[in-house]
Amino acid sequence: MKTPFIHDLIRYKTLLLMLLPALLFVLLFQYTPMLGLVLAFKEYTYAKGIIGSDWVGINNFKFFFISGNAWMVTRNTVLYNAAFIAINLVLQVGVAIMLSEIRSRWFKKVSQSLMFLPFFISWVVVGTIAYNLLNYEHGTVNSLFRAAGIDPVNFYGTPGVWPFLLVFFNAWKAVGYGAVFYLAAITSIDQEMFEAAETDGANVFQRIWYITLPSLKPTMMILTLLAVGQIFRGDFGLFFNLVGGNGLLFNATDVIDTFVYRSLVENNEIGMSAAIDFFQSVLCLVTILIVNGIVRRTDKDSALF
Amino acid sequence: MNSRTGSKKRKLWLSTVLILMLSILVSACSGNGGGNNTTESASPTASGTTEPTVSASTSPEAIDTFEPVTLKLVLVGTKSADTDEVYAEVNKIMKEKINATLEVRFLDWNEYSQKYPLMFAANEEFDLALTGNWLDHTGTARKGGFLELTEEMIKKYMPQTWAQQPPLAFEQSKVDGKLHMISSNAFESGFQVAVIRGDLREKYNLPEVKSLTDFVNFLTTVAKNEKGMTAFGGPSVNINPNPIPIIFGDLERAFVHGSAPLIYELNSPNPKISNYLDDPEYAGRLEMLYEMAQNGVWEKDSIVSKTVWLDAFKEGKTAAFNSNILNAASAMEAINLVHPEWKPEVVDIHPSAKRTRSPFNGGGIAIHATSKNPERALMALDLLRYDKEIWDLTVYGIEGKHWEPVSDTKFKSLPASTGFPPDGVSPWGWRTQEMIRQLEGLAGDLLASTNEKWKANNIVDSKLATFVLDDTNIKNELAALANVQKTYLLPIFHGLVKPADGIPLAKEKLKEAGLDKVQAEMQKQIDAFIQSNP
Repeated sequence: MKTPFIHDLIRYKTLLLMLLPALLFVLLFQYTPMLGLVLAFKEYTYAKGIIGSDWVGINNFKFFFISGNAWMVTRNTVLYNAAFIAINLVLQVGVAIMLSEIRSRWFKKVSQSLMFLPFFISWVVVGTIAYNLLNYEHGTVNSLFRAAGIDPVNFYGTPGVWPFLLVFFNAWKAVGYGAVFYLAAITSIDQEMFEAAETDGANVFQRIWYITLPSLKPTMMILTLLAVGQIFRGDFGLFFNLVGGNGLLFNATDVIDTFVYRSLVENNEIGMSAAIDFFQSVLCLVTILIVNGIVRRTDKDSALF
Repeated sequence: MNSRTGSKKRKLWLSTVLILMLSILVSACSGNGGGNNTTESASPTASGTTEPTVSASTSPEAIDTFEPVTLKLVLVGTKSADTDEVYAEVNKIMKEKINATLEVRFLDWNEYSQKYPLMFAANEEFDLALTGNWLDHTGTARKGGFLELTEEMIKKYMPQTWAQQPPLAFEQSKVDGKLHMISSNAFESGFQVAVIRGDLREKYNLPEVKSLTDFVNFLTTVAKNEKGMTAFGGPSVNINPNPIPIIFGDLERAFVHGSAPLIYELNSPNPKISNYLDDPEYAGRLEMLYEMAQNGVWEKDSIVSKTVWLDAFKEGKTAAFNSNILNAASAMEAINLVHPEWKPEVVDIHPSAKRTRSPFNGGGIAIHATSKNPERALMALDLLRYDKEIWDLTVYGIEGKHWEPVSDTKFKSLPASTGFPPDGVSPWGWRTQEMIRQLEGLAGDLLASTNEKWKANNIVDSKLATFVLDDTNIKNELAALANVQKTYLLPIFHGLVKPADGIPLAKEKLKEAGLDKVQAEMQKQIDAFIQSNP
């Protein structure tokens, strides 16, 4: 009993119309620029333009691989993103459920707004805040340590603490925002189910475990899949503004994007940056195809396509 | 299929669409951040409303300037408050002499590094642009961003420049034998001097600072005794090419390219490239930096510092600052106005070391490759460079408001000059030696006497002053080396890694990134250059 496509189109015309601006946006700003990927194989000059510049084969990719760091930064990028996805998922769902269970409207709104706020602070500012917190000589944290008689920690000289710091700052900024998705999904759960469960004597944890979480599963899957599709792209703002040019930390904190920035910031080779973007795009595409395939095998409804 | 699963399916489809929409909106919002290079819709300044009053006598003979044109000039720097007023005056003269008006667009310090190349990549409409080695003149010229300037063009449209520009200036600003810019020709040297707090030197009974040893001694003493003050900002957070040049000033070496630690001797008739990490003198200096860091001369986190050290020095948070003589003199002047009790002293800690003049390609003006009015642009540039009235306007502002002449060659700043600081509103593309007025007072005198002293005793012209590296074959290696330097060398400069451990590691990584290939290529090009320019 498959409904034909045309039928769906007519049936959901209002919703689809609402989708149209976003669709156009994607077409214009995501698909059209893809043509620029040819630059990955060209030596770009202003005079000859995108179409006319000379082909150079895979020459533009070489710098990345002769550096000896290609594997390390790729690994860092994937591991950091995996950590961000997992931790943010747990925190966002947790926060959304807790907020939805709060009965006091006033408290709910205030706490939601406060958690949402960091999303609007740019990474540049977060970088400065972090520096003022963690700085060795007069950072807040070390001043507190000194006052309490604890030895100060040289954060900017200790690579080991940075994975935790980066995950922390990322979560701080992302949780309030991501929770909104799940809050929206929770409100769309059929209230009758909760009422029925209550009548049957289910306590709050049972309600969450057997109703809320399973109902949130499709949302979780979609958002996670979308995030996995970006797993080879490091968040440049986060890593660059928090770590800066501190070579001591690079082994623990360097991702593809910061690495490429450092290598190319002086020489302005558009072809080389396009090459790395091509590299990342291909890896992301492969990843999303594999992961989506696995999801489709196990749970067809949750797959993206 | 019953209705229950149907409604469940619809719900899923609904929430999927909702989430997709939301997430697309998110990407739309976050995507905006990077692309805020909106082209300002420049409002055309009143141009061409009056009938052209071309007096053929003032413009070079037989050049048709009947059609009024607006020339767009791109400058890098801060647009200060009175800029529009000043350029309105400039345009009155321009209009009369060549029937053209200038429309100036400023790229501020925090945005120029991205916007400048983008303006070329997007082929925006402009006619003239500030250029120079620090704006990647070579790269932009090779990518075809600038119009090539021929001898005939300069002779015809820039007669004064043709007559007065020193041949070396043309020679040094060429890229691959072709000229794309008319460079400034004023004497400058980027050699680093120090400004120190004289009061602190006297407080600890230290002798006058005359050498590197004195300087380090002064900094260490301050670091040990002055609590709550940072002795010195320390090395820069960038490594391009050497983050603390003042410490190495007496070694008389120069870099070929900022991305590789390769140097040659300034004075050598037949320069040989070597890696400074192999040089025991440099290793000794790195050891010294390590010791300074251990003594707390600069902050432990200097490598990620976001402090502007010139401001910190002026506010009394540090005891010393290093820069070129121009900025040092103006820092001294600024402090003398507010805190004369600090007794700022400008010191050359390598008084006998040879040094070079800044190469002529350090600053100049180029014509955009797709300019519609290149002829008129060149004529305007000739006026910017040699019309005394226009020059005084663009460099010092309005006479009687921002400055007043003291003699033909000296000037005095007036209080209103905060609205148009002398030499401050990006006139660096047309710094013409003959036109420069000296600032009356201590800083001006210091600048003039220092320049005279250096010209007489210290300046050497390196054989390679006009050499420009062709990086076609080594682009990949240079990119990889740039990264290795920032990762393994910069921490050594900041004293975070013991040189004895750090140098061998850095050398190994540099080798892996292709240093040998780069060195061989540079040497090959330099040898060929020396052969053709004996």
